[in-house]
Amino acid sequence: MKFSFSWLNSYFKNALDIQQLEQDLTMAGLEIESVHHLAENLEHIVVGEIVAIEKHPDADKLNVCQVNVGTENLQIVCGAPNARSGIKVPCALIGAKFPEFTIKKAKLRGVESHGMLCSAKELNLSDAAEGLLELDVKLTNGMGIVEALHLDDAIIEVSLTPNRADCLSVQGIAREVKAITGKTLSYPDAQIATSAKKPSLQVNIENNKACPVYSFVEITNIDNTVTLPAEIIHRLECAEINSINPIVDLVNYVMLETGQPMHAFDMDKIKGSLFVRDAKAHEKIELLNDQSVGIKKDDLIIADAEGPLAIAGVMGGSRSSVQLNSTRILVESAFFTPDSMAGKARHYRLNTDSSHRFERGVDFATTANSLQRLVNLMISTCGGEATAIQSITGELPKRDVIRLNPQRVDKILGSTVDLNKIKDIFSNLDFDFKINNHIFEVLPPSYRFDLSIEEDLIEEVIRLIGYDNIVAEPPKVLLKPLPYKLKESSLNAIRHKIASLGYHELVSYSFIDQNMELSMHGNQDHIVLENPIAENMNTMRSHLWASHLEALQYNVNRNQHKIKFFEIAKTFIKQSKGYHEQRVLSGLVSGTAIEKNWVEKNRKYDFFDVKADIENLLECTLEFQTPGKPMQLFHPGQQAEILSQGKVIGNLGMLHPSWQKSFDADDSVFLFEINLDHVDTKPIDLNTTTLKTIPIQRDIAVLVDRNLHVGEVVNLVKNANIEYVVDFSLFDVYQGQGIDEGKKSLAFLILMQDTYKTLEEKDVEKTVENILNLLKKEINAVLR
Amino acid sequence: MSDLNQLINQARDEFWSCSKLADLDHIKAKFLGKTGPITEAMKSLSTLPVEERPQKGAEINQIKNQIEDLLNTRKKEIADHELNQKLENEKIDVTLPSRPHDQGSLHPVMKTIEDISQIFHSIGFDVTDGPEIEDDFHNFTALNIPESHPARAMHDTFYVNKEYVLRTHTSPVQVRYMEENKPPIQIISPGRVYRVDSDATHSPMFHQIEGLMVNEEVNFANLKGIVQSFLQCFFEDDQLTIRFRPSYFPFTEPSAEIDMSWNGGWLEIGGCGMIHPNVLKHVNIDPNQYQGFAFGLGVERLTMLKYGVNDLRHFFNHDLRFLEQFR
Repeated sequence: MKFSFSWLNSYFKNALDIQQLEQDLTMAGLEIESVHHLAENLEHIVVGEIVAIEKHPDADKLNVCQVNVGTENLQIVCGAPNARSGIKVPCALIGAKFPEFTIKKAKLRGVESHGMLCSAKELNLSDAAEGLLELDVKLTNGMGIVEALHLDDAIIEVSLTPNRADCLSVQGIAREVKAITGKTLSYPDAQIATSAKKPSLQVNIENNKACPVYSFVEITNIDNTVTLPAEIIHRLECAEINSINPIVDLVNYVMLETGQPMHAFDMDKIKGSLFVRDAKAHEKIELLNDQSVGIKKDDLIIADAEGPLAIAGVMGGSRSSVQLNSTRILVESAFFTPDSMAGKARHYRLNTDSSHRFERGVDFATTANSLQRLVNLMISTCGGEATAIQSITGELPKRDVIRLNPQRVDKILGSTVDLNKIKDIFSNLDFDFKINNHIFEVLPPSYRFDLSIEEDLIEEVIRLIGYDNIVAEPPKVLLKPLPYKLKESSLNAIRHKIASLGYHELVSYSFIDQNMELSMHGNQDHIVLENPIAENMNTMRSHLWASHLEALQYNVNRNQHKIKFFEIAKTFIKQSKGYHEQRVLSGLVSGTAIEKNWVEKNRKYDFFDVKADIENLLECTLEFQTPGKPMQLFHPGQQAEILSQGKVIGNLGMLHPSWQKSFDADDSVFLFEINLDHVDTKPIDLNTTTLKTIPIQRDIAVLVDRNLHVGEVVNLVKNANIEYVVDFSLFDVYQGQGIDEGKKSLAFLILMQDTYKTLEEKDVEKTVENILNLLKKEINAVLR
Repeated sequence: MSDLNQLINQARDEFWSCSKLADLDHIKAKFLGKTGPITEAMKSLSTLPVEERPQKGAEINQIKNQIEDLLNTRKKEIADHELNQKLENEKIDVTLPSRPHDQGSLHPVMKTIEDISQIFHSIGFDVTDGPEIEDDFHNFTALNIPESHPARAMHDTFYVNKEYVLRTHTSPVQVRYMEENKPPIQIISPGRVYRVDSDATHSPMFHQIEGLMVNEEVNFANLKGIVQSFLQCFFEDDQLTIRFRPSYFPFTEPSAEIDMSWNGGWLEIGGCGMIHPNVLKHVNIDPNQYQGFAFGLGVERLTMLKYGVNDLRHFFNHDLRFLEQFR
């Protein structure tokens, strides 16, 4: 909320210091967002009247004006389209300073100019740069612009939390200032003009649960064409409330002043009596903003014999709206309960000043007082006669007594608060309270909707004492060891390890383009957001790859050629009931593995670089196998499932070349994903039996069928449990010259060892023979 | 005998005119070999009278020893020389670049989460986790934000459907943890949160760390103590000042914003407060017996301050030139 500082200050006989106020309010929970001083750099700018104007002899768009600034007439060259004789405008005299220049005597196309006529933008009052700011012609020529436009003021913007609806008015803020500072608050005239005249219109409250108070008044013979006092206009402008017509402006003004939203109806347009009732099915209304809406059944409305006139507390209809020619009006000042208002504005997408206040809570005890204030202002400015104010009252909100035990204050705050201090605070807050057996019994004011339990009162106490006055103190607890967080610490260990393997960690958005989810992952059952921030971020991802490919593209387009990314994040899968989230480690590798250098040959990353990284990373034994059902995203001949203890825990593959170009990648791209929820960090399977003897090593080379997978050969030997064999691993593959078509040569290293003696040559030979026999029998392998 | 004495001089000359270890062995044989003069002289001892033999024998041995000493001295000289030569030849230019290797990096936001988790773990806070697609109950209702409450407008919520949202804060983890665990409770929970907001200072996805402590007596002064000492530790600055400013969160009462002094002004880095009794009641913890505090910190903001990152968008642009600086 924005408001004029001088307005607030008028409640304290101008005794407030703006800097102190800013500090006080912020530290009491009413955060001051900004303070905008209006009069900055406006010296030497005065009210000037254009008394004569003629075309510039040498420039089509310029005029030469004679401007009266009180003491003298100045010749000023001006290009504004609205410059004309008789208007009064801000006139910057020689010496006036603007951010980028200072006004000096100048010649424009040969004609002398002794100043500058200004637009609102040049005075930093608004963004209206088009044309001169036309001032009230009643202003005296030569008067300083600061005085003329009430610019000796500042606009304060306060950021209010939703619980403090009582501060959505200047008086509300003033109450708060009084509570903080103890300064005396003086209200403007509260004189009550008594009228014996009864309103002519019948008002029927059909739902007094949603509308416990309905005050109204009729005013007749109003002139809605008058000009409002400059002070009122200025205060509305400070609050950024657009001027509509005097009646509407005054209604808004009193709302700003008191916090009470009101609505004025043109009585001549009301048919029959007025009803405050629930909407029937299919009722419609044409709103003030020319929007036509269907009203939700049972929403509270104001209606006449012909149907809805207003959505209660939200917005009025155009049918009964007040126009310049309106002379007879009915003004409502009601209390619609927060419960009945809840969600209403959001439903109609109409967050109005009125709905904003009603849904948070408006003072239900002062509807008539605020209306009286409006009547007084209206009659003094627009003339007319008012009836007596009528209030129809139903069941008002209950204010239960809240009990506060001072000991509990100390227990919650961890600080001792003096009893008298609490008393002072409650008095300054105008709370109705008494002390009974050392317990405070507090009846909250009608304008406070945020006080219902003891803790609420504790907060009132502490925010006015000041949070700074509580001394920070470490908690005392019994020391005990935490269960070692395997999951969390192993996740961090994985992050550090993979970073040391050259991967850069990414943090990418969890939502991606729906089309990616469909075309890349073929996920028909994806999770779409109802209100995405952008269309290409509308789907919760089931893999991180799309995000990583975009990151690849971003960097490739910035001439990066060595790319290794990883990220640990959740992926999302729809389930019959709810959603499943799994934590995955995902990576992308592309480009230069070994850059040009003086020691070894440069080359690009390949499948086995990434495979090695994955094996290095996880503490469990992994197996890689060709998937039964290949993934479409990957090269059909370069992809693998990653298994741990027989369970698939992830995938690795080369991005299908048909996708590669869409991400501007010239080099092959390798992607992998490991479901960390499936990775078991199993305890170490310790073997100390082989430490006593020395292993013997032998190499063999065999010819096998070219299509045979090395993994099968290795598994064959390992699973055969041949005596003494402790390892069997491949170290060379060869096919081509010297090898039959359809065959390849595989060279293996055999590691043999006994548990109690070093093997003799005959045992070694026997073992190698056993292996060769096995290979011969099972896969028809021939020793080379 | 003088022949043998001359032998010493001769051996010295020959040893020193030789410059290779291998050659030295041949020369050695010439003097000390089986047919060499020393061996011969030894053999001829038997021709001497028995009483002269010991003395003569001793003399021969002495000469033999002298020759061997000379040999060893020379051997060492040559070996030293050869080693020095080898070392000289093996000299390298250490300023040449190292072998190519890959060096990765950790994302600054994740670094911050890790740092924070470690600091809190060190004072006995457990680290826990919750779902990112959260149901309406845990994200709002259980946190004392009923449907249509104006406070819901404070959260620009992403909706998955009527029942599920992308969590707008890490606070639902409080509820989930207290549903499963009874006091005393000391946890933190870092993670991703989502709001429909995107500009220079807002990202639709960002990170928070939730802290929660519940027991029979933990109070607001303790909350200040924990938050203050944590921040001093995180920024490695014992002089760091913070202030608590009254604010409003439906799930805490009293509530406060945490501001940190920075460059002569105040910067908001999180919110906190004493857990609202309604939240405790929702999870069947008796608010008359237990009390506690909760806080939520903005991870990106802390990271920006710690590393001097001036634009939030750097975190999510994936620019390697930015990322690789966090080694």
